[in-house]
Amino acid sequence: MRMGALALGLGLAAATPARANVFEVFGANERARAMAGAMTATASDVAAVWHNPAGLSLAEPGISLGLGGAFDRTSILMAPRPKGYDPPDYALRLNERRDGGNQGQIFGFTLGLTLKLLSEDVRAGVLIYFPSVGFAHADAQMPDERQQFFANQLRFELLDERLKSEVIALGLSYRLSDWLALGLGLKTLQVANNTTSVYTPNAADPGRSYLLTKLEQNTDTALVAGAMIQPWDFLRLGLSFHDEIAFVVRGKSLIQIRGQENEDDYPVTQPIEQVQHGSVPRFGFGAAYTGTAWTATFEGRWELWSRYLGPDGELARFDDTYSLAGGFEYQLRPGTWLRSGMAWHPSPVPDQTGRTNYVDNDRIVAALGAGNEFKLWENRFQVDLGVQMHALLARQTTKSLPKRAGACTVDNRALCDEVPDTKVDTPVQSAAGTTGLQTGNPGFPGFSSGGYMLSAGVDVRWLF
Amino acid sequence: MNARRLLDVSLGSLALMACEAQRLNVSVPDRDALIIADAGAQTLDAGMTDGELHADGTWLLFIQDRYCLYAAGAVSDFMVWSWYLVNLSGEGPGAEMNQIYFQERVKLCAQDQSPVTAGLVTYIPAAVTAALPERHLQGFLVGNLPGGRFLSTELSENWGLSDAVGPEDPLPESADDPRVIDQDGDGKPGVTMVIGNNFCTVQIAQRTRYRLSGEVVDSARIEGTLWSDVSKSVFDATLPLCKAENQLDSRADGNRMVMMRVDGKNGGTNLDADGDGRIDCAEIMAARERLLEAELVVKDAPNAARCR
Repeated sequence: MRMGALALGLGLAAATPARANVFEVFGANERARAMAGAMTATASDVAAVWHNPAGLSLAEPGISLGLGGAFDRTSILMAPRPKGYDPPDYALRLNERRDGGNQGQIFGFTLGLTLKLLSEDVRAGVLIYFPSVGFAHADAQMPDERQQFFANQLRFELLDERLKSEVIALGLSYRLSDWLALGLGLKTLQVANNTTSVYTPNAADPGRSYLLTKLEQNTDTALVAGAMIQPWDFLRLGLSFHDEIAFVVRGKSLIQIRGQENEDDYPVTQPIEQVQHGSVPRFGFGAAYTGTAWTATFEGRWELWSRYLGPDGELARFDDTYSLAGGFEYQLRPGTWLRSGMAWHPSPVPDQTGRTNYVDNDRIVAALGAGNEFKLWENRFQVDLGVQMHALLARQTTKSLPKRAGACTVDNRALCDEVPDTKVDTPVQSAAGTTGLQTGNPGFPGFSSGGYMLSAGVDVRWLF
Repeated sequence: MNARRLLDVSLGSLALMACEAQRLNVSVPDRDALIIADAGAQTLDAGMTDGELHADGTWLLFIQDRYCLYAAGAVSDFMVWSWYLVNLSGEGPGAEMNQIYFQERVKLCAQDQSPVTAGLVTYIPAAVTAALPERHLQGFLVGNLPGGRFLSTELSENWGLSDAVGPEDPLPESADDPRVIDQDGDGKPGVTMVIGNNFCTVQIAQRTRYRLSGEVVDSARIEGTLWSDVSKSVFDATLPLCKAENQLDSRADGNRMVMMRVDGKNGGTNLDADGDGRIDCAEIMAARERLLEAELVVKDAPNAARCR
């Protein structure tokens, strides 16, 4: 029986794609949002699919529909560039260096389903977040000076694009005894393999190239696991684990240029590796104390950000973090709840004094919300509201000027010199102008970041 | 009660302010970038004139030399823009009454080129132009009023080659040929060109021949056309792409020359930035953008359709 349920769960999961991670930041439904995401020991509805699959054992069967969004008042302000550090043609970049922040449209709706399977002890759930920007949204950026050739702008590495990704997660729980439930879930992300073949019949007119794209999409899966232990009626303990996963685009461009057929490196091959929406391994430990009409919960998370891959597929060299969250739920009267929560998320991103420009801030989260159960046409419904304020504590970054700037090689983590020193004058740069540091790194000479995000949402559940 | 409210509001505001990003003013000192010559006394306004062209003085010769370039399987409309400092002297009568004969001392100050394959531009380092000797030619005018004809003897420039290579001689094909010289002093035979932003460098020897002819426009300006011929030997390059063979076909219909007086005399513009009474290449270079903006000299835009 147990094995059958487990096999069913894994089978379901293997067939279903999923992504992260608006749920990580705001919570997987409005109850979670209202309690600042402190759900490891208190998840007892469809949100358990994400926060702790073992909590599904407490979930009533039902269907939920949620609507949520975030209003953004964050900013990344660039320090003015000093004179004399521009590489040649810096003024001709496609985009001018400019302030960042303002993360755009963060809005979507959530669909959830919880079911009993085969017996009272086995429950399954599915939770899907549909972002308004559509599925498979990806907008990569370069983490260092290469960004000057593209948007030439910085953005919040762990918010922004990660909040615009769809989420599809599913879970399965099994109640082993009155005091112990276990849960398993899966989240998956897309893996794309893209080969672009280009033939340029006229090298002087590359806009008229012939271009073919071969795109293969697959999914990568990651495990979510959890346990809930209830040694006494008033105390519940929760443990959860999320494995790492990222949206990866791999592939290559094969470029043929007429007239170059006899060269050794023909066709020109450009490898592609872009990583986005990365989630790192995460362990959660929570405890919930239940009184006569209230529940208080507290939890800690250990997140292994040192494994985080930057957009270029290289280790971003972040620090592991411990974050804290607490939630409180008060039953005002039967079927009506008031909720609140607080959380502290320290930034895993170390000071970006060198070549890279990952932007992130310590965050304080304050949350409020309410829920009400009502009957309509003899059916039970529950509506929940949640509001969260994320305060991104202001942070200032000043680049360290190396005494002797090295070339922009893979190993060089310091601010690097994009123009090798030369004795040859050109009309765009004198030899004297190549001496020392020339950089178009958008983060040079520094930047500051901070601001607020206000997220809010509503969801309605039909309990059957 | 009011004090308590004030305290609450103040604490709340402080908490919010802790999150607002403030723009940084990083104390990285400015650095001197390129040293750009001071425009000083330069003026593009014309000086006083008696209406006749008097050759004696300092002139700018601007040449647009246009080709179809066949390289890397592609053809492009390729242009070379040369900026010469010209001193005219020794004015005297010719065989006919209205003929004027003069000496020309011609020095190349700079040369720009339009992009070649894949948008890459070849830069002629200042060390190359600085190393080129002044050339001596003879010029003729048939009439010094507007409409008068101008003719010059052939200007032949050897880059990375000794003058032992005459205008009609085949070019050396090997860098070991004793007629190949290290003209720019970089320790490599021939002259070194830079392609792109140091995308690659290429060692070449080149001979350029120009025959100028034109018409007097006013007392300080001659406009006309030219015959040109360019021969080149490529010895080495840092990338194979830059060493690739290419073919240049001259398109005389796109060639143009302008000779304009720049010493401020007889209706000419004055590019004497330092006021020392002499015009040099640095002053010509400093005035280039302004001359183009004022359309006193004009660079045509490449048009690939011309070569198809």
